[in-house]
Amino acid sequence: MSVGVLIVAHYRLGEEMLQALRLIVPDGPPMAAVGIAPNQAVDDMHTAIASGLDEVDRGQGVLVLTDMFGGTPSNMALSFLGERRLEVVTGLNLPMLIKLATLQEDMPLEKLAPFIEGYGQRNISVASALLPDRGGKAG
Amino acid sequence: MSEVEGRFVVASELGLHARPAGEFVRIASGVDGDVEISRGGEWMNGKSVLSILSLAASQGTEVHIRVSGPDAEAVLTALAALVERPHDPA
Repeated sequence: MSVGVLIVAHYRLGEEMLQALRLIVPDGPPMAAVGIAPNQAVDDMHTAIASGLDEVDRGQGVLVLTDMFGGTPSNMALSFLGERRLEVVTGLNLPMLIKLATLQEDMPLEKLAPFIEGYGQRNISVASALLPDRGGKAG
Repeated sequence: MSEVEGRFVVASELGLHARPAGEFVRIASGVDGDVEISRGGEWMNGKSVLSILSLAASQGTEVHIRVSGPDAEAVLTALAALVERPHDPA
């Protein structure tokens, strides 16, 4: 995958998500995470995100995944729109990361962002509905 | 191009959870052909972690695996060993 992936989220949420990802997919493409702490100066946040973008950008843009629309990590990431080639997708979950880490097709950023948004949404489930004794598809 | 298949019982008390599912995909991705897995219903893509997890294959579940490709036999043997492994490696 030639598009870079950067997580921007509260505290160590992004780092921990990457750690869980590496347990399941140890040999996936490099991704990075930036943690945002309360009371952190805006300039510090901006610098940390810029550094993260530089780290993962391989010339094809960066997909930024944030934990929640409207949160500071998301708002700070959005401040780079127009300045850098990036898309921000909010509401990160582990299935999205696994999909990105195992993606065979090399999608451009503009196609990858809506694809992964839909993928993340489809992988939120009432789990009992998937179980075979409840008539779910696993049966 | 050969195709082989077999039925195997999930041995781990944690079931076919995320880590072995990741291992399954790494083995399956090495074959130049298709790998599919089912538990009697829909066939799932054996090269997708989330598809394997959606089987919700707990301990004692019988899964059906079919592999096509030049190394199908060896890949099926490796996948069977993973499914029938009682514990995850440390």
